[in-house]
Amino acid sequence: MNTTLIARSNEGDKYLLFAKLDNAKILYNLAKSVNFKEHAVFCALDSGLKISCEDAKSTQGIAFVHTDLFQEYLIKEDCVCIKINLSVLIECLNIFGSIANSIPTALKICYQGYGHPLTLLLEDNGIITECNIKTMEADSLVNFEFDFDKIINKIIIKVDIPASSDYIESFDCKKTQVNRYKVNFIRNSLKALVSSTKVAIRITDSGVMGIQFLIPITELSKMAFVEFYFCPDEEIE
Amino acid sequence: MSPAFENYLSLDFFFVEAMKFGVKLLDSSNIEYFTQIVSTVSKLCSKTASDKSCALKLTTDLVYFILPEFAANNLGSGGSGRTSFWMSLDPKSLFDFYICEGKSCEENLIMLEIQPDNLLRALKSSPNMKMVRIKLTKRQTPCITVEIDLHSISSKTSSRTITHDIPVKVISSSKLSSTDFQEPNIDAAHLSIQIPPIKIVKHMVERMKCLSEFVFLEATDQGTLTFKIDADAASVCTYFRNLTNLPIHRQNADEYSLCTVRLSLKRLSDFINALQFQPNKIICNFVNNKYAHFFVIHNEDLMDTSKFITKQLELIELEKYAEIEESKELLNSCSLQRLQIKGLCLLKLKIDQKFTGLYGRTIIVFITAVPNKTINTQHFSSVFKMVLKKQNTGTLLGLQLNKIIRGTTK
Repeated sequence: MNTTLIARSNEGDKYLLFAKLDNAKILYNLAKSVNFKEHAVFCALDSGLKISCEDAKSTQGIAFVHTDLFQEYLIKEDCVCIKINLSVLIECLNIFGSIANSIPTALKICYQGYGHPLTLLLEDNGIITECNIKTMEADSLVNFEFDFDKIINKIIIKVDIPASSDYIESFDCKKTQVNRYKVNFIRNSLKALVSSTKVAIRITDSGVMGIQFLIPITELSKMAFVEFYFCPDEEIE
Repeated sequence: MSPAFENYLSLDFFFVEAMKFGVKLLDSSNIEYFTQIVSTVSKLCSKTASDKSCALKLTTDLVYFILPEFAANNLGSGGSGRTSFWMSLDPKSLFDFYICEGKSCEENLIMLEIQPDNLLRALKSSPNMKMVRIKLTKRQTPCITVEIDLHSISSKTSSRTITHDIPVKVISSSKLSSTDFQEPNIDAAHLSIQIPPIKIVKHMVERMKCLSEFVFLEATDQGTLTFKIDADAASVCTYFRNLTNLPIHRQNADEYSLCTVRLSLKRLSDFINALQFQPNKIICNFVNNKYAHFFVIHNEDLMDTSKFITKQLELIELEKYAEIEESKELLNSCSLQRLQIKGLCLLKLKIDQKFTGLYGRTIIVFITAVPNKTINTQHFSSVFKMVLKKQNTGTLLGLQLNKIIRGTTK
């Protein structure tokens, strides 16, 4: 009995990143909601796992999985960042599919370090799949300088609307703003919108819009976040 | 003319008049089942046959749909594998009426080239079929005629009949060599394994298809099967364990403990998606580095009952042995108290009666020695061999009784 416990705690020792998730579907759904570009930056932070997708340096989608959602989560550095093919990651996470009423697919994520592949181990009813996803050097992502003190307008909307309540939970706008955003970029966030219960729309003084989706993880009765940032179109005059 | 079967076609339509083939389907579930089969054949043909046609072989005992290897098309310019298939049906279990007569007694078989797609379209043409008749007819060309009787809309009018004529080509039996259109030789297999539930494999193959063009299938004689892809972006490997290996029949026993084949994922997914019914099981026979032979068994329950009974008797026998072994194991390892709980022994018995039975045998009746206790029947539910231990000569001191309350000693 003791040996297995020791073995378990040692298991992650040789990895820079080691995480266990009892239900791979959680990560699958979150990764899918930001899959508007083939490649994404996969970042393991102290607080959790961040998958960021960027398009044309003007829009960003970020899926955040808090460490709470993992059964085990170990990182050796403050920030482990790699670029991976997100579509491949999604196919790998979905390799067993979802058969209703079955035990969820268990997932183990391992990453040894620079130059090594990102290894996913999935287990479903005794069937094991090992996926080695090639890793690339992470691109630097645009910092939208989305600081709280710069936010002027903030609206929180309930997506899941009970009959008696209002659509808008909070409305806190300091001044009238008119910005143009590419509808194609906003469309990227629709997948996240479908599975969310609450949406916060915030706009800074420079016009950068951040939409935050609160996504319930019903299996664990916890929450995950997906964020999208959009730069406004420059007025050509 | 179709290029695939060109060498085998008979141009002499005179034969058709001498041949007789007819089928009747009366039951709606049989019609549906036959439609599923034709649909499967049609899907297999549309993806893998070079001109969407296959051979229909009719004998007095069985009906076959065959796509021989020479008629299967290559995928891509590199010729990355071909799929051929061979399907046999028992007309007795499927059709309510079946007749097949070749042109002579010696050659009591009919070989046709047919486009299963056309047959499927005919079978799917109307929703409420009462009866389906299929027969070989001679119009300008030989035809398979499908006659469908529909349920009448009002009760007064008589039922309506729709007739479809599907042109077929007759494959001349005189042009056939003995090896053409034969059942694939499973004896060549190096390793045989039952593949996991098709639902899991289907989903997995679809995912892998998105990542790579080819999959390596690796099977061992230890019941493991591995699906492995190695693409630019990722390598994925799925391990299945505890699968059933099936015995292979080989004279020149080349022992293969591990077999590998590389299959086109497109081909594999086409094959799996073509199966329009839930197969009972799929057995995969490996010929190392050459091909994988999938043996799909459907509706095994239609096998004749005597086979089923023999199989069951075999299994019961096996179960009996397993139970005996288990009991022996327990008798050797457990304490008497534990054995009593498991119903393998009864403790503290005393002799209640003793009398002489038939053939002068001594019959002893035991009862429990513990006051106010009755022995439940579950404590000796199954009759087991009685073991008597003679500790001193002639006297019975220790009595080990297994699951029996009335013992007979001589």
